[in-house]
Amino acid sequence: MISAFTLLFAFALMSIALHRSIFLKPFALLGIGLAFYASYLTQGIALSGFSLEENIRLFELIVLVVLFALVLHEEDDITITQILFIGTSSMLLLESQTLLSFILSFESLSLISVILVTQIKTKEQADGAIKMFIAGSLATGILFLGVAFYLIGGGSLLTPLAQETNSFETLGILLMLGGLFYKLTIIPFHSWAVDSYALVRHSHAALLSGLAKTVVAIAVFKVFAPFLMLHSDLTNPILITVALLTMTLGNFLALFRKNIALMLSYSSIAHAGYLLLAFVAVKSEFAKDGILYISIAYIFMQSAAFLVLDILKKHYAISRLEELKGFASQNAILAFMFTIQLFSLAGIPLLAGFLGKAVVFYAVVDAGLWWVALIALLNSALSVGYYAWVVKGMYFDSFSAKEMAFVEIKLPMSAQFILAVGTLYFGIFASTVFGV
Amino acid sequence: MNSLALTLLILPMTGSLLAFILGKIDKRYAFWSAEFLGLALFLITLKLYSSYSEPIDIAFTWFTLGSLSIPFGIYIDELSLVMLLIATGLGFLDIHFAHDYMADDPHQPRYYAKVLFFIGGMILLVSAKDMVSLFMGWEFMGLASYLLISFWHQQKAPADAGVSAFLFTRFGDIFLFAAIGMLFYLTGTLDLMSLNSMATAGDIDKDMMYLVAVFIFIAAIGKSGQFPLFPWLMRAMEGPTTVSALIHGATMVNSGIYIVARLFDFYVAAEALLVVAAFGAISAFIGATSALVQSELKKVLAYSTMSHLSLAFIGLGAGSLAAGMTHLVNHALFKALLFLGAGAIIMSASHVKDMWRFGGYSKKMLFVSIAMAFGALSLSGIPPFSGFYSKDAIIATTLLNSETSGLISSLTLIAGVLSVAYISRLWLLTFAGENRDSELFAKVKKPSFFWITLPLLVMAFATFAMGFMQEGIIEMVSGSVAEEEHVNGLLFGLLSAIALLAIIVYYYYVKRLDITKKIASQPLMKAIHKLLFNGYFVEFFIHYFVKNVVVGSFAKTIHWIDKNIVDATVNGSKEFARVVKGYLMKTHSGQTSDNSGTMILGVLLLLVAVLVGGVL
Repeated sequence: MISAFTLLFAFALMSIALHRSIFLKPFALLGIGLAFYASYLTQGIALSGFSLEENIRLFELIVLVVLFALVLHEEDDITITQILFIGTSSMLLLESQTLLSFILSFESLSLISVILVTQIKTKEQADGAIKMFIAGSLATGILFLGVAFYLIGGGSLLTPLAQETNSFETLGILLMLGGLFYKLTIIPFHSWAVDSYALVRHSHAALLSGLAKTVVAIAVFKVFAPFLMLHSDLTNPILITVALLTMTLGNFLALFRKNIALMLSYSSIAHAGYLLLAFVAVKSEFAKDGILYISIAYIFMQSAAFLVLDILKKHYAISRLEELKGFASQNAILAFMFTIQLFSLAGIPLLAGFLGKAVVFYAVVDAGLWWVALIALLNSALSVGYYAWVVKGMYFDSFSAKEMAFVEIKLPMSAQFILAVGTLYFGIFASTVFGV
Repeated sequence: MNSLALTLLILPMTGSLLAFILGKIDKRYAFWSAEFLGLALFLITLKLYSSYSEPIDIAFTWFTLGSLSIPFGIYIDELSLVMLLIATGLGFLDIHFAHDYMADDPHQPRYYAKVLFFIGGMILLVSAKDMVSLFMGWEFMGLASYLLISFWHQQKAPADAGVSAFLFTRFGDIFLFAAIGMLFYLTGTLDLMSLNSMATAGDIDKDMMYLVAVFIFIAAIGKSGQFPLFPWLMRAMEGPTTVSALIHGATMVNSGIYIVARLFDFYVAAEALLVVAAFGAISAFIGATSALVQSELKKVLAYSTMSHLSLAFIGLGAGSLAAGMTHLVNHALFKALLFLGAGAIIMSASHVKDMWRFGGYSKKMLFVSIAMAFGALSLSGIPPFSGFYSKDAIIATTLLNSETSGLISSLTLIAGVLSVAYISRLWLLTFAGENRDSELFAKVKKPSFFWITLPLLVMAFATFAMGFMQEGIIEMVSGSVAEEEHVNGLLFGLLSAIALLAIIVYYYYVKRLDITKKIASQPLMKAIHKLLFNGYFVEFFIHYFVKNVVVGSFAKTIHWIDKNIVDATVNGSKEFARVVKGYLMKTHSGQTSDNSGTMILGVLLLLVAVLVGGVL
């Protein structure tokens, strides 16, 4: 049986030949569809050093759905190919079994992300890309420093991460986590994200902050959870501090933003804090459900939100909050779908974002850290403020920007539809996830 | 069978969307898709009914988290099937009827989408296996009812009526929600059947059970328009008549009775049936007497609905599941018939609802008058129409039960017999005698046979035929045919009282209307008339209470606290957030060197933390 990875890789390579042709997008969509089918069918090991667990397989399918929506939305040929490549390395990362395969696929994902944002057209994009590149290099340095310590301590790259460790290995693993946290935009490795997410093209930001981040979160959890479980006395104080700082800082800074993209960047950082809570609660049996669920919720809502920004910028020339006023009268359907995603981000019940947070918080309480959950809950309440502000602007303020000609945006709208259905479906039919 | 049952649940909801979308292309498509779906739903229900052998039981789990498991299940037994037949059968006829009734309305897609959504909610409610799906159906219907009452929301009265309905039923719903929480806490299960069996086995604390039963009954009161939460039902008559017929005559208002019947064993074990019977008796009396003096066609029917639903509650309360549920089934049919008949009259009479401006209409719409006469006979309880059997059984049950044989049975008897008075008054004022507004009379159009009269005749035939199927219905709703309970002389007494009242009404409302008017102008009569006409001023009392007690003192205190303590805190924290943000902003300069610096700093801090943690 051909694996999803192989299919995506083959289609990504072949898609280069189809640039500037109308067949590129259907071809890419076909590739993702086939990969979905293959991933749906596969049971066992695809490549040596890679394997798939049941709950990760579900996430892989969801990543493919989101990739489908992203390609549907995208108009730029090079980006479509790169989306396929990012999908390829995401599959690898999710399936990685040994430390070596994990690090290699993580690096390939980082590298393609950097290449993605270097399609520079404006000065701002250059700014964002450079910042991301420098931060990424530093993070790789830290990661490999960690690997070095780990190897000195006697660890092996060709096995899964050791659980019983000596001091060198422990230090190495902690440094590795530090390097990986760069991609998760966790304090203090977050600074680049604020600028890069807001400055690079919004459809690229959707890939970086929606897809790449959750894939990395799931993979890191899969690789490091056994270690963290054994060393929670050491790691938990650090993780709790960092998680709470990340979400509080993200939420407070998002609160007064007038630029929607910047607001979403900060909210993305705040969500990294929630993701990290699952690592904090690793001792609870629900932590696994928690990380899976919040990642599923997050991949849908964050990708969709940035794609909406892309549509807004491209077709309506809107990028600031006050320009969004009365937008519901301009494009009611898009406004509604944006509202779904924003409410999901805010954690309103019956949407995926709510259940994601609820399960993670539940796991944290289950791990005996109710005060951490309480602070997270207050944070979540705080965040409703700025999301609701956008919705209020769209629906209740009178239209102020200049009237735009009606534009037919079919494909991006269908991408939005797919993502909105995802958010709704996983908000209502929770058992699909908990069943696995 | 399972897939068929699931289709039944999913179809109306998807159909609702479909009708709306198709209706956007051409508004007539909305009707046709609704009509087709209505028929499909009815046929599916018939198929389920005809091939019924044992209850359909589908258990889903909404989600599980450790020991916490939220169920979402479907359970269709014979009791559910009866309710499904009513919901889908009358739903289909109602949609069919709306073809003409709503023909001039520009917002038809919205209308049919809402009606299908409502039917979906009702189906979900009656096929619920547990409290979760039941509550969901309950709330779906509440929402649909609100949306449909205020369908003409551009006008003030319907919009207000919608809000009123929402608030009154919401008040009850809070208690249902609380009851669900209590049940889950007490028993750990929300499954309706297990609740019944646990209650019978005595596994639940009796006092708590009583409390839960009363809480659920408060919700039932709200939904079924019983004393004291009935004013919304009267106001709901501002909605389209087709809506009144389906929701406020035949289906949704039954759900309160259904929930008590579904948990009948629970109520028996909780010894809470007397509460049900007592409130039922008060409501029956208020409804029947108030219906006597209403001038609006639909208001008479609304009060009559209230009174007849109370009879069903009394039947349950007096301990006879069969009597209560049979009356519910019979009532649903003849009340839908009467409401739709009223709809036909109102439509033909240029949307005038005042009965005093009608009269002699049987000349213009003979078939409608005949169909409504069938409904009226059944409602009055005249054999061999269906209403007779159930009403007789309810009265007999209350007389035989020692707990209800005193005041409750007298009130029931009065309400039961008075129904002939108000319904014959309605029929006679509308169809018989001289017409009292010739201008309006001249404009009356003959209703279309296929769209208007045919559904009425179908229902008239059904209400007649059901008189001969009572044993089957009793068996379906209660599982067995009980020995018929007889009270000597009751039948004779009832029938003669009914006949006497009918003659009196005929004399005073057709032959000697002048005398009636003279009597009504007496001061005492005027006062009584005013009392009854306003439904015993219950709405007035509720408004007074809410305005002066709840809002006046309680809410004002809270407002003070809110303004002087909460607001101050919030404003303070807003200021705090601003200051914090100012500091936080400084952490982020946007310079690449600073970005990298923080990262390096992070690694150093990590090393320090590790050193403090004692790894190295």
